[in-house]
Amino acid sequence: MTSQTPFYTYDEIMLCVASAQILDREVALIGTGLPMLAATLAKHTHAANAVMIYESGLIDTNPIEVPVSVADPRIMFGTTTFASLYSTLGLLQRGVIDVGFLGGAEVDQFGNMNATAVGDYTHPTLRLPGSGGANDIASLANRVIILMKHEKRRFPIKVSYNTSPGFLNGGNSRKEAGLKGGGPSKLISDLAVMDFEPGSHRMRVRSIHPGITREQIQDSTGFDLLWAEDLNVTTAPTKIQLEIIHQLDPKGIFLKNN
Amino acid sequence: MQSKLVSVQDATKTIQSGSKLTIGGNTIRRHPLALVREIIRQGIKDLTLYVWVAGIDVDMLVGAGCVRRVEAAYVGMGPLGLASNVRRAIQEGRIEYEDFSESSMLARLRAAGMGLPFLPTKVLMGTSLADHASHAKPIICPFTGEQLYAVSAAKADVAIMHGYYGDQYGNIQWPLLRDSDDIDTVIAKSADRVIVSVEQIINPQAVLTNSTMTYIPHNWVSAVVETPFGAHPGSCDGIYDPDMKHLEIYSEAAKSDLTFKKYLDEYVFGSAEEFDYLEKAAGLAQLLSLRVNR
Repeated sequence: MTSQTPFYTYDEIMLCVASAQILDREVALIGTGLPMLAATLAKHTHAANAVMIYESGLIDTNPIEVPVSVADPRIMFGTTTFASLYSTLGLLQRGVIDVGFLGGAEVDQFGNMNATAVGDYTHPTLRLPGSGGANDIASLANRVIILMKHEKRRFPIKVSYNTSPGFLNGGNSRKEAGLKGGGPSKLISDLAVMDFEPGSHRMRVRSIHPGITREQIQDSTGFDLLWAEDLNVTTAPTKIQLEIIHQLDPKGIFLKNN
Repeated sequence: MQSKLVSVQDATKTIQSGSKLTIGGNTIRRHPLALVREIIRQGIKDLTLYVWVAGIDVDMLVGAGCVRRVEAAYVGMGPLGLASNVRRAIQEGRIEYEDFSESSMLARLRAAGMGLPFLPTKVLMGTSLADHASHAKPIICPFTGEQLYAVSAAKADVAIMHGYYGDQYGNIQWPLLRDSDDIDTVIAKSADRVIVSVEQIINPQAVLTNSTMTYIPHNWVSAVVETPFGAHPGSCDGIYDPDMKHLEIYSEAAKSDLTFKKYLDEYVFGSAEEFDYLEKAAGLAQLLSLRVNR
């Protein structure tokens, strides 16, 4: 960090990189938390014409109080449409969602994610809540942005349970399985930004966050990463971006001080 | 028209052990928890649950030993994290569990409501959900040749749900005009019988003069019960927020069989009826503090 760069947290750089993934005029499917802040930031900066569709079906809301969930009526304030939680799933199936966001307990070298069970499925060592809408977004959104904390145990070579399909076994296997959406396009962690190499669809580091080393990233990953030839440093959040996100979440409900 | 208004006890008595049950609401929002507590008090067992994005409803029933099998897209406690009773029961192999995604589980419930044996979906392929599912099979579209998954109808014997307002005939209304924010209208059509608890019974004349607010019509409903704060400690959106104070007590208790048994003894078996429960679990001052400013 130079003296020109404002102080920022891991959450904030992830949020700003995620925001940059939403292009102007795109339709983004979002939940509460960081994706909601990222999409709102995009609308206030480079993507004024992006459309935000919440899981609960609402389109482009402007709540005064931070909603407790996507179904909280507080979220309805300033919205153009009240659709339903399940109408959004219909939009996904029609293929009209450009970009969706996902998190999970584990992600593997082909971008498959586990949100269901760690260990043997019938007698897991750790049972998690299950897919919810994660499988649907991973299967059907044109692009998926994965947000994950970078830890070795969360980045195994193969997920123990594939809840949300990435590129399955790599190569063409995703397409051959009949999956319609394009699969994960970026993985944003607290250390780096990754994509999936065309052809092999193996995870590849595209940019390293300021102050982080290659060794740190590889040591936090359970398989050998590919490295982009034009590997660069992730753009740090700007003062304006930070000001906007703090206005959006003044009480720090979604932004933790890490 | 005949009144369908009955007590929580009488409505619950009609649910047999071994039934297939579907439950309204999601995570910690608008579940019919007064009915769930009465199911536990009456010792109804061996239930199969067809649920969508479930939470404390399923966690309580599983923790009380009422459940044999769950088919769901999700069971979790929203901001409170994992549903600990469900987690332990699965890890220890005490219940059967079949995982779906939101759109595939919704398709199963909609198929039941449409009187169809199955519906096609564009999800599940390539994943572990498909590998382990007994109610999902790969099919080829006879028109386009597309690869799809067929998911079978999840037809329940009884649906239970918590509504906002309803008249004695079972017309259930929203407090503000909106499209459905959850699964309730879908599951009300999917089951043989529907039991709805509501925050308040209203005059049938009020329904007739404001019929755009009706989201569940009386002809789908078998029984209506009045349970103020009937979704406590969860929320009834727009009327009261979740009781985070009690939910934290719940979540802590759910972490072991022993502490959850104590929780049930104190709050469920220790309350002969819902007013006793509300006094014990929250008290009037706490309940009133949960009300949403409108």
